[in-house]
Amino acid sequence: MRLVLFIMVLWCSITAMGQTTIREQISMIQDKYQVHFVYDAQLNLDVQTRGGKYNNGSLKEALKNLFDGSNISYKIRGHNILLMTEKLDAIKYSVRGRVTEHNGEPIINATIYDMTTGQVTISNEKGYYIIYLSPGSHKLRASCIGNKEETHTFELTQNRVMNFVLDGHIALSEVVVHGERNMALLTTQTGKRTFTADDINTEFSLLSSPDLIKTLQHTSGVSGGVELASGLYVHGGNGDENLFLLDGSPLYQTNHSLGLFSAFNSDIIKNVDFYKSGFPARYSGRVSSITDVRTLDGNMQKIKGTLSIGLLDGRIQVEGPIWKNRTSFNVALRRSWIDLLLKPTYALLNTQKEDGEKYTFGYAFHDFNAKITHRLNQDNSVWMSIYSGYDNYSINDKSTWSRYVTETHNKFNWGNLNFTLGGDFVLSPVLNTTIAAIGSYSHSLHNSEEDDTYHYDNVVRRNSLDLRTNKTKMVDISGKFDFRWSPLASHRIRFGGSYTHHIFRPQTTQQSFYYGDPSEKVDTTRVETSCNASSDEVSVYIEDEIALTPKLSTNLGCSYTLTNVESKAYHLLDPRFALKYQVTNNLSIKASYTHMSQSIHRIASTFLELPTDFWVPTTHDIQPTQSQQIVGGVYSQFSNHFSLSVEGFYKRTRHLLQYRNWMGLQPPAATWNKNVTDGKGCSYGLELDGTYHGTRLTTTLAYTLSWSKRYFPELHAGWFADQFDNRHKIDITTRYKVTDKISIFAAWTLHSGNRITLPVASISQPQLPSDTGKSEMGYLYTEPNNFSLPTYHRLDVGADFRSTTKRGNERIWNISIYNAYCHLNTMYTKVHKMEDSSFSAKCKGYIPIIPSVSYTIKF
Amino acid sequence: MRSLLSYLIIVICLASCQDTISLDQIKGKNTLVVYAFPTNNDTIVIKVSASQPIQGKAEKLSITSVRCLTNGKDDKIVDVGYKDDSGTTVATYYAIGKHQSGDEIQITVNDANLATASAMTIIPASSAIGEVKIDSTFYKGSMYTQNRLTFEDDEPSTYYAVRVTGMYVPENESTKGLTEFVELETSAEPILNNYSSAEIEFGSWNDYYHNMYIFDDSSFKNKRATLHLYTLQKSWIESYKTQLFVLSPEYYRLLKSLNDIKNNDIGANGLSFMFSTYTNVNGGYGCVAGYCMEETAWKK
Repeated sequence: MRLVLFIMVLWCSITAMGQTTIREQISMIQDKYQVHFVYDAQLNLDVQTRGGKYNNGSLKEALKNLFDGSNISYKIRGHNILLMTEKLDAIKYSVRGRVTEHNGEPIINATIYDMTTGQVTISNEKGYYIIYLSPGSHKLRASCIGNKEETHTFELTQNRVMNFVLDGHIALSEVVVHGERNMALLTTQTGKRTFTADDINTEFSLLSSPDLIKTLQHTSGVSGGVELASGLYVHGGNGDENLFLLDGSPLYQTNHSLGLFSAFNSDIIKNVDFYKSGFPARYSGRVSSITDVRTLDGNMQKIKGTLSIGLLDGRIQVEGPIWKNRTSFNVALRRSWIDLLLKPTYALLNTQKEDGEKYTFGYAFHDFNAKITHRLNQDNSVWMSIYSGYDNYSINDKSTWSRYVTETHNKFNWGNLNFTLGGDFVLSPVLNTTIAAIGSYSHSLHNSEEDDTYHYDNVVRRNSLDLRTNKTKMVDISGKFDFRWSPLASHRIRFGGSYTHHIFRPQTTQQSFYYGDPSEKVDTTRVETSCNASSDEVSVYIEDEIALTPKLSTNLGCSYTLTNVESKAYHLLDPRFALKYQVTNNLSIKASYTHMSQSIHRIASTFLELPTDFWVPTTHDIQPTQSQQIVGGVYSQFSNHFSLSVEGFYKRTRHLLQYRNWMGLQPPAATWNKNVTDGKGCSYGLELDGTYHGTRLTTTLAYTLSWSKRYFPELHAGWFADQFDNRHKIDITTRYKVTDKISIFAAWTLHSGNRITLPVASISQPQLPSDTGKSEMGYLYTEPNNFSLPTYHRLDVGADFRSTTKRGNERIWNISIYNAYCHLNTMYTKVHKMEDSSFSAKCKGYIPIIPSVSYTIKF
Repeated sequence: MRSLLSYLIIVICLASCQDTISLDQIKGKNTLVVYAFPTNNDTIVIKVSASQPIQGKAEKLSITSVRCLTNGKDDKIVDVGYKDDSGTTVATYYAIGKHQSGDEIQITVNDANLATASAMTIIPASSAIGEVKIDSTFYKGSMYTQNRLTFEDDEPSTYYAVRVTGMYVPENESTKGLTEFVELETSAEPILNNYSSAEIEFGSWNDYYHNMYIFDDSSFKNKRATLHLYTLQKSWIESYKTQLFVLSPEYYRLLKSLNDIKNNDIGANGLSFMFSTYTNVNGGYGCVAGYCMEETAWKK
């Protein structure tokens, strides 16, 4: 018996010597290839290998040899080898939750990364995320630039909720920069840029007032238009082809001070998603760009705020809890204060004038944001957001000539009032929704009055009164709902719809003239014209972000809009498609196709984006503007610090509108549709974006090589260059943190000059019937925009000096210099005929160096 | 302090430097410029000159032939000669024949050095002036002369122009009256007023080329229209006459184009779209455009 037992043990040992266990083989592979195996503790590795012994081949060969024929599958993730049973791999549990800061503020675009399996997702605009993982041990990390990351280790045996609370606004030196899921390398969409409040607030700002639109102007593929104006011409588009959403509400007047400042107060901005291509189906209504601005909910824990005063404007922002951890408020007011100086100055000057003469000039703008957020419970919240922007300019002049007095009053104001009431609700672990009711009102008023009176022995007799008023109004009333549904790990579905009723009153003009005293029978003329229009839009969309394979993902979507105007229905179907192939962890290739429609238009005869420009609907005869855009690109991240991308785009637009004649600064709205002509647009180009993100130094480079053309057969036989066809554009921005207290920044812009129309020849002018005398000479204009102005270049620099007050509040002195080397960039040029009959041209540029300073205190 | 001073010196030096510009980008051609405005009379005046390109040298005019076809039949061409006119040479020709409304006029000019230029137009039908009244009226605090002109808009006509001529006798001359085309107050006549009231505040111009006030019939299609033509009263003007033109589309577009270029200062400064000069001349520039004109008697 003993002998039998001895023989059996000996046989087993001999057998075992030839067939080692998987665990032993793993140990040998780890030593040989310096890799690490990651697996669930329940996974039984003490079984004999079936595939044979480890040999001296490559790692892949060794793994294939080891696991072939077993029920264990493996994945290579860098130096980690993930093991799982095929059965376990098929099972997925959801982990969902919310990423917020300590003060309760949801974090948008936070990266949630499973360090065990390499799976990754990002939080949505309300901070919610969902990720599907296999049962077993996991290490989930939430991170976002500017916040300290947080990691949770847990055993996943069922669906679970996991919230992350990240420390916000930590010092830059503490930031460990990991690959952000929202970076261009990893997102499926093309042409998306995300800006946080820090991105906007730490960049150079004109007059030390941070400006969203001027930040966007530094993006590749975007032309800034006329200097100092807040123009935005994306991929050869027009100014009215950009949709600005403030907490989901469309904003139509996006400028203050005729473009000197944009209408967005940076103190209240939390996140900005800017799309210039690859538009997801949830966005529609404009053909060139989408700017989705989300504002801060407000601190749920304690009252905090910022007070800032600059050269032309002052800002105050206060946030805090109304009901701790349940209800918060966030209020921000920005107001220009130059009028507060002008009023006493003019009052003083006017006291020195005789005969009661006086002259006053006033200009002021403000924007006011308020948001209240109430959490119903952990998952559900309701919120209300209000925005009011207003510009007011006035001139009053009283002149006296003996007993005659002329009083002139000139008033010009414009603005927006937006209101959004919304709610975010989690309907099930895989389905949540946002419902919102939106009201938007934009308006402008220009009023002038000239009153001539005669004064005699305390009797005032009116000679004449000339009144002129020009009003423009637009109202949007809409309701929308958006659902986010994640039924499977590989599908992120969004669907929803909206209804919008647009009311347009593009122009109401009144001209009244009264001659003589009102008490007597007077000669009066009064003309009033008005124009009313309305349209209804019903829109539905669906999009699905699909992970086809671990390397291949797509975003498929479509939106359908029914526009009903003047009893005509337009059915607008806009398919969207984006595809990403992740070649390696550091390299991806993307492509997208988007079709966009726009059924409202801003009719303008200048590039100045004047507040009196009016919006009008598509009509029975005027078709909606539509664009198609194809984009392809390569995106790479060479290291944690350096990323580079190259994107090419080709865009065609049809049914562009352009006045067929010069219609003056404010063309009559009543006949606008008879004065416009239909055309096409075509733009294409290449964009190169590079970013270096170090501990102290951040530098971005954006280069664009592009062409932008127009075709209006009624205006010119053939394609011609667009006004902002800037062939080359380079933007370099740099931020450097010298010490913890001092940071400096610079932005250098260079682009091919804007285009203008210059005459090609001098020709004799026609003599009309009955004309006598000699012919005149005049200029001959042929192809529009036939001349490119000299290259535009400008350096802006600035510095922030931070310190702490005695009360422990942070204060910041900002010094900014616009156009630091004072290059008077050419705005236009004029041709002159010289005495010798030759022609010459001179450049006209007026914007010099503009220094500014601001003081900010945070409390 | 020294670095700050250096910076300021650099800035001041740079500020004095503006961009320099070359006009090399402009591609202007040497071409013939032809103007002719046929109407229902015997003679068509054809004026021919050469363009002076912004870049390069202007070619000398060397016309080899001028041809005018009325409904396909040659008119007799009379060479009036070359004349220096405002710095350019203008050649004048008369095309003599029978011309009336509905005639198709085709003009071709050949030059030894420049490409052949040709253009075609149709003389429109005239529109009869109906009632004509002249009054003095008070408008916006000043005395105006108001010429009221009534006419019927006929089916084929779309484009019109109106021109008011004032006659005066200079102090030292007692025999012969002189005339001038007077400026109209367009704000008093909506048909002529292209702009809204805001324009005046912004200082935009609303000038009409040679005081020829063009308009179309979009606001009174196939109806009777009355124009209220206000002109600021001038003590020296003794009488007025009003001309009503029916324009061919080419004529209207030419005048509209000239007005747009003249009034669009903003476009010249690169802040708005600049429109091209209208031409219907193939191979050259200029315009051949028909018209018909009716005029009132001199009225006081």
